[in-house]
Amino acid sequence: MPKLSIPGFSSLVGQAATEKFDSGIILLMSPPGGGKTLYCRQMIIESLQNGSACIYINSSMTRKEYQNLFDTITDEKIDKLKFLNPYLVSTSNKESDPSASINEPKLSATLQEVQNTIDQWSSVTNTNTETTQESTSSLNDHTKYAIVLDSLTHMFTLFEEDKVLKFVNALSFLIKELEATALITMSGTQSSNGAILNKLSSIFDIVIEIEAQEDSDKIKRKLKLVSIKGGGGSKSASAPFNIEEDGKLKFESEASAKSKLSICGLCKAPILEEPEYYLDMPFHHNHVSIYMKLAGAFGQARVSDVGPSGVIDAAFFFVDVVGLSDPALSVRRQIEKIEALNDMIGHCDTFKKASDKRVLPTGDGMAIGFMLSPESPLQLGIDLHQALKKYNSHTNKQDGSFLDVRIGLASGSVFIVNDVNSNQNIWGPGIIFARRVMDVGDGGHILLAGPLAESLLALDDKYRSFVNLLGDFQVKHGQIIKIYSAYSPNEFGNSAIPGRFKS
Amino acid sequence: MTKCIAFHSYKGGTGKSTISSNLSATLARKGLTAVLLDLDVYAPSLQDYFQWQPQKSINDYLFENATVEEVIHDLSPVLNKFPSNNGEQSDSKGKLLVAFSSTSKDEIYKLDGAVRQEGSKIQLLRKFLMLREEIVSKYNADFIIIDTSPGIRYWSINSLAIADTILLSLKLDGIDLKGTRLLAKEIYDSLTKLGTKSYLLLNRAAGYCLPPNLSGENNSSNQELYKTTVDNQSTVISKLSADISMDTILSIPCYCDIQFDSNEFLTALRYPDHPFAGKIDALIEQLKKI
Repeated sequence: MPKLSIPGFSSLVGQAATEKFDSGIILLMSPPGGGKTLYCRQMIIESLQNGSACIYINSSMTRKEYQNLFDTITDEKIDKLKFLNPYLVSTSNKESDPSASINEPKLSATLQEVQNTIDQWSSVTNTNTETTQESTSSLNDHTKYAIVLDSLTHMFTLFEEDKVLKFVNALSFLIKELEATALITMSGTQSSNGAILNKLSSIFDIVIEIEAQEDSDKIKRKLKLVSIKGGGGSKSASAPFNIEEDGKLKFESEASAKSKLSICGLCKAPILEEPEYYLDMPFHHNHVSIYMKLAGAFGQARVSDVGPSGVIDAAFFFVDVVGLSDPALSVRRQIEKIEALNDMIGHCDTFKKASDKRVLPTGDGMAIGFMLSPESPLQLGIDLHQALKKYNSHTNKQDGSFLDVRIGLASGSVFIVNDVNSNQNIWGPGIIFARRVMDVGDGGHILLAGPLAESLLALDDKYRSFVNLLGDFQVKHGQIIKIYSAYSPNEFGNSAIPGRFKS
Repeated sequence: MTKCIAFHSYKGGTGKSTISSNLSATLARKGLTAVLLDLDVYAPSLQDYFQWQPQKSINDYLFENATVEEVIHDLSPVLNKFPSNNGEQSDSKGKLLVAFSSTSKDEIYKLDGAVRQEGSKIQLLRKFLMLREEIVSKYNADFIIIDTSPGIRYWSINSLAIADTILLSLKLDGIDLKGTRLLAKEIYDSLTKLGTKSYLLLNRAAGYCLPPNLSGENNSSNQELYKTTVDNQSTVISKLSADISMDTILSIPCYCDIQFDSNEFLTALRYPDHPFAGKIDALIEQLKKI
């Protein structure tokens, strides 16, 4: 089924709303240099590629300029693209113009040309369906039409305003009749075009604008939703894009927003579905209204405590198997140990119950980020030690089967990143810190970085009985960190001072 | 689609727990699934009300020490203790599910302390949002009924923000009336602008019983005084309702037998012919229309 393409639109209103929108009139506003014409080009090229037919109306462009603009389109596709310049259009057929009320021969002729082109394509459609089986490359009964008028502002310089408005009005009827989609562009912004917008407001189904800001040597552009009939989307939704050297628009939101995971402005959890935007912040679909309610109740300043962040805070558990790289240990034994560790952690209650966690295998162990509870890493360390006690009751140190691990815990910020398999992972200072802390320890140690230990001690008195301060330790790059050790004799942890600490 | 109703008030003692419990049980009796959440985290009372000591509480869920399945308790068998007014047992399809807040002093301190730290506060809020979402997705609840903390407090406002409908219960004393106006202006206004429905629920209103000393025929002046009190109350409510643009969804008179019954427990089921049961039915009908 041929489809129209509206570049960046799905990022503004979501995929479902984009798919529902299959006809209507869109107004695109943009400052000069914002990329209106290239946006039109992109819409036309993508719509042609999707099997639609397009009419491009541009009152400032010569045929040669038009050909240059669309020189990448194949001959086969170019048959489905009609270029019209109202200023250059022939007025010879104006007598049959059904829109004589426009009272401007060139505009009437342009409208007539639009109608003729559609009629011509329709007759090709009929011929095709009569003589051949449906061909994907030919127009067919389902052909969608896109009419692009670029730009209304320039038309005003050539024709009287009321005649242009009448032309747009007549064009809008044609578009509705054809169930087509039209893109009409204007230079300027919502406020500078206020008067015209008021006159044409009933015609436009969707109003979008390009915002362009100079940033050092390049222009940062984004497509924004201004209004949409019947609601939907968020007026703050925006889709950043770049114009590449070949003139193609590359939307970050479509090209990379899925890989650049959004964090919900309310709950700060990753957004796996299409985000909703409010005040330029992404949210889970059902969290926007709750955020707005809380902002209203607590005040914007206080609710911003739980506002957006490029990073998330988490508490980390870092574990590795002690002596895994010992050359005396067979590869089979190494694999057994890693599998045993994975299995034990997977069966720990704390691990099973934590609903928002990220696991990063590290080869000889793993890092686990707990997004919700700062207590989870230490509890997991304790669970794991208890499981290890059972496991090691059947092993011995002589044959290398004894499984010894060291554990480092820390809290801090991390970014959510995508790995090469497009899985969402975490990386950042919080996780590096946990690694550093773990590296200080020996087998059996559960070591905690100062900030995490201190927040646990403040949270619950129970930690005072088994979280013990070891002191300051200089880790890599001269960084000094306070280290605590969690232990309870014969239950978990290692009460000995770590070897590195002594040295 | 799940309807989420929060009972809130400016002051304590306005009957939120009693009415929300009776409402939830009556909904379940009618064959619906009602999940009652005790989110009066600072002064939880539903454990005592239902005489139920849960292994895991909402606090455990918020701190990731329990799953939603561990904190939602199926109290539907309680319904069978009470025959319906036509002598039948309750609709077996109905479910009364209850999640309790912890009554442990340490747990209450812990929760209170954690919301003062931004790191844990956001984590708790996230879990709180998940609680509603998990109840909706896993229990297919018809109603989530939230018994909130009174006043302007962190967890009560969060509870109001996740609710579709708020029932602001009040008695008709001066402090409560002033507090209700404050809540309406400071809190409810921003919620209702974003689609939350809010209604006044008058509890312990005058007009149910005529004090015995006034009932004699010779006490016409006292009866007149009583009538004036009831009329004044009506005027006060009309003015309040108009001032804060909130309709009254229900007016429950002061039923002394409930008010002073130290063992009040699901009166709406226990005494289905009691006018209080009729009031709960009327509330359900109103809620269904919202």
